[in-house]
Amino acid sequence: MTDEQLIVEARAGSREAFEALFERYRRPIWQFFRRRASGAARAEELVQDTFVALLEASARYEPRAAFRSYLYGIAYKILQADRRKTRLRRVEPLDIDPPQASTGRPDTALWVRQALAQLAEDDREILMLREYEELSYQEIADLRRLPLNTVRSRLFRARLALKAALVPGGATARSRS
Amino acid sequence: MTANHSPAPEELMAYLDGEQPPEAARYFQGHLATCERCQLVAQDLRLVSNGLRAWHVEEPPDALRVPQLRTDAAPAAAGGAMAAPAVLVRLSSTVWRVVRARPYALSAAAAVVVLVAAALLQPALKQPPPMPVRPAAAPTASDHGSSRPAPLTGGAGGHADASAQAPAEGQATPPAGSLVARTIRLRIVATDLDAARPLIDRVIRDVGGLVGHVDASSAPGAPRFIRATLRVPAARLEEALASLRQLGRVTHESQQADDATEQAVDLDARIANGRITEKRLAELLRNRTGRVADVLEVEREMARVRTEIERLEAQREKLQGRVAYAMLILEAEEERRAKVDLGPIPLRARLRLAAVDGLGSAASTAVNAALLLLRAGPAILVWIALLLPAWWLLRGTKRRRERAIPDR
Repeated sequence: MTDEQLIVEARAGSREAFEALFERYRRPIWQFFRRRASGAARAEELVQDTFVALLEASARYEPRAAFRSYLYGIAYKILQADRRKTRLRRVEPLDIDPPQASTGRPDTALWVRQALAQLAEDDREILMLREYEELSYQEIADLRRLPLNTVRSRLFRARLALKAALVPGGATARSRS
Repeated sequence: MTANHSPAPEELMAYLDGEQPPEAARYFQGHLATCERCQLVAQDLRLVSNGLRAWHVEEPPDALRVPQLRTDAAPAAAGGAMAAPAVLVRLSSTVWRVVRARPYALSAAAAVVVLVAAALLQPALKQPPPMPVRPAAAPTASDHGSSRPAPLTGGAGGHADASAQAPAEGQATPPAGSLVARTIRLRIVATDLDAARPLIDRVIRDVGGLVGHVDASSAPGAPRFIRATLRVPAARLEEALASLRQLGRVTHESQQADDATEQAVDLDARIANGRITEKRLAELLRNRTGRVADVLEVEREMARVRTEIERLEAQREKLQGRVAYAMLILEAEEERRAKVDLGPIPLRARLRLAAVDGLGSAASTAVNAALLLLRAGPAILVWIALLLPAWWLLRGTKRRRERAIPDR
């Protein structure tokens, strides 16, 4: 059963359908927030908020768009609201509880995070949505309310900058061209 | 990874990301097989992607569970209101977040609730239990044919001011069968005394009353006035008073009620005794067997008794009239309008007066402002202290709602 069919059934009050959707997207949404929120506890709260918001919004869901991008849209809005609240509280978004690498070397994860931190915020967000959430260019454009070409150019710019950060002294492609 | 090469690196990136249409993808596939430069660009892009994917995060905690739904959840209509389970889940989530993240906010909200509840309950706690109220006796016709007067303010024999005209609930009323003679004094400053007299006549005519005495004065240089003694049927006294109050501004109103029950009973008894005496005397006179002098004495006594009975009956009728018709003493005075011609005021004097008035007004304003501050300031501070947490909670709720769902 597709996501769209499940959310339609959940909208009609099916508990099983909603639980199925939760099981499918529990891990991706967790990873979405875990890479962006300041700690595991906060990420857990935001995941809960996302699914609660999904529950609320299910009555308004129109099966014209992919459920996946719809759910990430909710998650992204919640993330933005949380960041805005964090700024209002004048609390720096310190990574007090950095994500743990379940596989791979911890220093690799740290290295990636540091490289991402050097990017402009817009570029970093577009790059992460593409690389981690695997959203399409159009979905990212819809989410960020940007033109499609802008998304593509910024994504390319982010990858170029990240490569320069990942490989010390190596903007190989730039030097080649 | 830049331009000066066809296709552009961004286009190649889109191809590698699967964002090119099938025709273009076939072109890029063929081009990539032969173009070494594009192969290097693709290699760099893959390197970046692979590097990013090296950042794994831990698995979601076990505590992360699906928000609980009620099994009896009613299906929500498409595009309709939020489903009831969603509201409950959302509410519980919000409450839990406030409790965990902002306990001080919860404390403030609880304090507001307690204070408001205390403010609402305080009058109820202070209010004494209601006293049993004796139901007022229904007006009935008296034994002597007179109509029962309406309940009076202050009770029988009392004296009430205009500010306390309406009888209070549970107020004592004359017992059934009692007779009350009422006297009302009404003093009015009339705005238009010329219209007063016709109005008085019309009111008395409408209620079926009588004008006992009228004294009108229109001496030059003195305010005009009308003094009238009116007799108004007791049953329609309030109606007449309401109409007469429209003459102008009521400056004094008093009502007096005299209990005439005892007096009426005494008169009735004396009349009855007199009639019995008269009857016996008449029998003696019919069966006269004594001396002529005795007969003459009986006749004199009969005449005296008859006179006494008639006198008592006249008093009884007068008393009945006092009860049936209340006495209304009306004094209407023309409103005084002082006319003082001071002549032209010099400019200097006017300026001085204006300055004095200005200073007085400024001082009065300052005093009033200080008084207002002292009077209302503490209450305002209390309200700010009460409403600030509520405003904060509302703001938080509004921001949470701003997590708008994308319109799809």
